[in-house]
Amino acid sequence: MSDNYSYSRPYGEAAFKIALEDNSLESWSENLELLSDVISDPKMTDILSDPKINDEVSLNFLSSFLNDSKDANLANFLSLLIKTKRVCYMKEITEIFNSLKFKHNNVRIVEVESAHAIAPDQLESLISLLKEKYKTDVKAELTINKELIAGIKIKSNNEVIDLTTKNRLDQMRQQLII
Amino acid sequence: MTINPTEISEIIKSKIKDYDIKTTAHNEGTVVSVTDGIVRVFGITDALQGEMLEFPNKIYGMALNLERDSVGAVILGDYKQISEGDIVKCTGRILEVPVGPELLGRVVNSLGEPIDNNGPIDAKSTSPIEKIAPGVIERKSVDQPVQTGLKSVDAMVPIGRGQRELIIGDRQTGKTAVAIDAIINQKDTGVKCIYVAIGQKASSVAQVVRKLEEHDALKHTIIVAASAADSAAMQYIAPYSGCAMGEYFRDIGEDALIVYDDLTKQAWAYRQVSLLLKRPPGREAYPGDVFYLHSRLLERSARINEDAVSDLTNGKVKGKTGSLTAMPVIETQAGDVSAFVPTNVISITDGQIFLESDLFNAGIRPAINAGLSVSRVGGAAQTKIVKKLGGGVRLALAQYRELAAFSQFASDLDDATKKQLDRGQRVTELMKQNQYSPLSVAEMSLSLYAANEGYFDDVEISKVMPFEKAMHEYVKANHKDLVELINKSLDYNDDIADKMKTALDAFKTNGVW
Repeated sequence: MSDNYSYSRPYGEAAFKIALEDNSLESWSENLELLSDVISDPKMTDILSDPKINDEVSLNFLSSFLNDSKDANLANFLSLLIKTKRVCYMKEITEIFNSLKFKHNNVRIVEVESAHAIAPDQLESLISLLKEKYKTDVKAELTINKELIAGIKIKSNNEVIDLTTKNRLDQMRQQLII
Repeated sequence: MTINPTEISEIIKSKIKDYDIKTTAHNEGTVVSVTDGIVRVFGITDALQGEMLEFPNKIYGMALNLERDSVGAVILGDYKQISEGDIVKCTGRILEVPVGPELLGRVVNSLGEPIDNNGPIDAKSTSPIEKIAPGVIERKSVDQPVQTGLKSVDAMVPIGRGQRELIIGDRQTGKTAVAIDAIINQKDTGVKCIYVAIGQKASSVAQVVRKLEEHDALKHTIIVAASAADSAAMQYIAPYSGCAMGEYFRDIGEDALIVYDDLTKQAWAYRQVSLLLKRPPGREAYPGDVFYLHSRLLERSARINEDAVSDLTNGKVKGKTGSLTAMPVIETQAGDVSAFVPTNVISITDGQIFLESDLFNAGIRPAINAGLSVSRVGGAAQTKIVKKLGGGVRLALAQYRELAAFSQFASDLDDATKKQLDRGQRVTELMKQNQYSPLSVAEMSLSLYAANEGYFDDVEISKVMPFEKAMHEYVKANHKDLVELINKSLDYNDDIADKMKTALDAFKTNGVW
């Protein structure tokens, strides 16, 4: 898992630099996400690892999924990945690309887990609080998780702010065990 | 700890009542792989070197390898409960252990948790296990002695408070015995002791505890045990934990003595951890920083001056110096002191007590090789009377060693040489001492004086030890004031010399041995 990121980082960074120079961050991001979805499909993995299928065929096959196949840089990038056998790390490359993109746009992705649905105005006030805390623009992704019992859990990068009842109960349980 | 069933509900009640739930932001990662006590964690990019990591079920680990996309950590405890995908929390703290006088008389593991079934330890403070050693400004030179109670050590390789004196020798040469005797002799001196057992059999540790208890020496001693069954990580951190406990006493202006038994096994444990963390191996497969492993530990043993103690205690303790004396133990293989770890530790310490199997087997116990054992700073700290009288012993032994080869042709030798040989044999015999029987300064001075003045010269070699014993008993019974005077003043002058002469002459004529 961590090794995959180490292998993918140079590719993700290179792709980001090219996209930045071409001023086409969004289209790169879309295409990479699309490719990552395609490649993470188990059937696709079988096809790509089949020794009977040569590099050229897989390149043409993958290119056919792209929205805008006229972008020469993207096609070159894809052929490089196939040649160096790194195309299987498309998911990580896309993640690295996106995190660099968000950093460039000064946006922070925050995952909010909640036990119950949050009213739009509540979410709005939460986002404005987080904007103040992180001093960046905040993009929240809300998920519902009944296991949390009550409260919310906010995850951003590696930082976790746990305000759930489950966490309180866990803490109390540990206190009582010792 | 035994809890009365009726108390349980009370305890739970108070625990719930006092429980304060904190909401804090923390960093979280996930376990990627678990191998032989080493865990690779993905995601905690902000982890500190040596930071405590919390795994599920209150298992703790220590971050050691900070890499670009992962953190390599060692588990302190049972790693078999940890599995791939477990959540890891950063605690933001460097590994800490409880410190304070509450730990005295207890047996704890490397994390300072009690393992002696005597209930929890109510320590008031904690201290990080890795700390920077006192700097140049805080230090004071060594000028007070640590009495080990062993004639051969105190007379020939004296140890000062704040010194690092290595005990080195093969297996079964009595290394631990020297250290334990030194601890027993600190009874009633105010010197607190810490015995760190690394990679030993649990039965050996239990025996040490029992012996200390028997000699009433456990109440001023903390035992930190990382036995052979504990994980390599626990064995690796044990000396640092013990050192943190000793530093507490040093920093409040008291004196402490720490025994690391032994650092060879700690180096082995560290080698194991390093190799599993995929750090490149060097000489004897040790990692590159094995010298620093021991130098940073032993550098923390120091004597600090009054100002430093005052600063560290916020002015509460004034006019007192603090010290932490270290007696690291190194086990050599077949007498090879030029192996990697022994040479390192010899060069770090301020001297060594060299124990030899040949001497041990010849019945000379403690088996100290007087020629190779040195103390680089202890001379300044030696008790005046022992220093004055011990010089002669050293000389007699040195001359004896030179002539020992000729001893087989005793009949062909001139009188002067013969006399030196006889003296040497008797001094060698006199330097023998039973385990767990440390001597006071007065007893030691009497023996040394008697040797210098030739009172042993007409005693049969086999009778030297009974003679010495009878002499101590006679003088203690009939010349109590002299014994008290020496133990109190620790000085040597004509008056004391005269009194010793009178006492010994009286023993020679009246005593029985």
